[in-house]
Amino acid sequence: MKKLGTAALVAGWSLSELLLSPRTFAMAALAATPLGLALAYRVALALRMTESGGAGVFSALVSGVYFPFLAPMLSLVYASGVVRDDLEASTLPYFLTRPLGRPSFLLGKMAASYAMSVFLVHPSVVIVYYVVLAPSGFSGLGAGFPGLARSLAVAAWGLVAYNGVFALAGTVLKRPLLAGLVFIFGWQAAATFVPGRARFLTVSHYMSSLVPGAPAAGILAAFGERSHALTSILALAVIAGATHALAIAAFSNKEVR
Amino acid sequence: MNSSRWTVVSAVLAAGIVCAGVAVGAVAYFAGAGGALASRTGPSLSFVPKDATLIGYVDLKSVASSPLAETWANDVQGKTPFAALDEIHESTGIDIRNDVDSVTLAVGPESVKPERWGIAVAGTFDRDLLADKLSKTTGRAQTSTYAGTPLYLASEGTSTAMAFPDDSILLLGEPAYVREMLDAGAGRKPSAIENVRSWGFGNFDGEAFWFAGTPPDVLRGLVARGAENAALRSFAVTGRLETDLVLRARGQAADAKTAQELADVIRGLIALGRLRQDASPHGEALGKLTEAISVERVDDAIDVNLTVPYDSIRQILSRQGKDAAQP
Repeated sequence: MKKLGTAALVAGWSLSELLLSPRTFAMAALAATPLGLALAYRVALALRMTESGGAGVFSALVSGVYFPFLAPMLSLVYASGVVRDDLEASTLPYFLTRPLGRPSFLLGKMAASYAMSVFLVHPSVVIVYYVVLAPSGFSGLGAGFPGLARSLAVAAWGLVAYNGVFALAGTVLKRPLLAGLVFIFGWQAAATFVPGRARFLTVSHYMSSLVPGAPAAGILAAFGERSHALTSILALAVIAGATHALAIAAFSNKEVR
Repeated sequence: MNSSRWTVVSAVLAAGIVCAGVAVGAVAYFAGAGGALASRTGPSLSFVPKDATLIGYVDLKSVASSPLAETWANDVQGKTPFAALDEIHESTGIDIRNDVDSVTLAVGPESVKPERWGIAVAGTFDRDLLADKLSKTTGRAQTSTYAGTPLYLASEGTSTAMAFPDDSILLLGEPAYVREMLDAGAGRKPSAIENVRSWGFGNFDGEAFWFAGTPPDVLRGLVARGAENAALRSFAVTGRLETDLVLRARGQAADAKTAQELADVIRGLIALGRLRQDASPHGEALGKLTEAISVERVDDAIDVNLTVPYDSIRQILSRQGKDAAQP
């Protein structure tokens, strides 16, 4: 309990630091880009330039923008800095002189980075939902609600997995941001198109399996394969648990100068 | 304001947006579901015998109040199924638009001849009027009793029986199958409720219509020719009509390899459809439809999804109407 209390203390302090940091304003702008797309859709709808329904557009934004790009990017920016930020600022040795256990310290930092990702992603998803589905009326909002609830739940669960992956990278690697970008835009993007089992080693595959998404067109339709919902939930849990545990283990044994 | 207060304010703001959005959405969802429940009685699965190989359900209230019905009524005057409803009312006394809430169709095993079929209609009926209409339409109707329930049998032309197990259910169908339906409804024989849970998505709540069952023999040779076991174990097609026309189909294959082969066959058919796309109204409509289809394999199941906005349907129908009107 004492360790959890310490972790909560570190999380609260770290969260307040992250909220006031310049990077949060940049990330908030990034989180608002789907809102710009949603507003563009509303303009196109008003000008009768599109026939797409709001539910389909929301689904496309979730599966095409939030899950493959926005969520991992936000998680990368915050989670990769759980150790690296304090190390580069040379403040980490001072923190470690305090009566804080290393596991509790890292747990608190990871909780704060996760909270920041959720604070930016979830309100954005909700606002975009209402912007694109408002033309459908109250009944349309109700009809699309299961999709919203599911998207929020999957985003929350997927962000836990991403948080662990990038926190581990931040703990172990010297350039976690670069490695994270390669993971998101290199490995995850390529694994989607490569036939075989490579996609099982990505977080995006399991997230997209949990959300049906917009009807895929073109080449993507040819590779549409999803895992079972329960398999996806368990896989994300395993990824999250393993990476968080490895990050804590690595940090506990890390030599800090 | 110090940093702690900023943290609290920001957290409250973010949580407030999410909670308010979820709350409004939930109210809209359950309010809509409650209103629909008042008119939607759900499928009468308790009357469907367990050995049914095909079950279909149509929520007529949802269909009639959907934008699809409005599109048909406005754009295809006189050619819609609704034009035939007046004929049904005249011949049977059943006003489908007002008296009928839903229709559940059941088809028995293929191996049994003559083919067993039955329909359970949920709604409000006048038994005496319907029996009178049946006898006038078919010539002579015999009345008998089965397990305490009157059974009206038309003896001219095709053999059709009608029964009223209660005031809100009308059973129509092949006489032997109607008796089986009465047995299933009374609990004397098992019903198909458990079967439905193993077909397709397993849950058809909220669907305006759905059809599910085991595929007929003609489809079994589609993939894995020569295999002893059927390639497709079950299938389900569902539809929603609230905001867009959303059709979903799921086929449960015998194994993952067969599912992959079936998915490839379907993708090939879609690709062929896209090749036939051209500037003609039919070609354009076909192109739009094939672009709106997605095919995915989930373990040993194949999911096919089609979402068509009503604006697209209106455009296709109006183009076809103009095309038909041209000399």
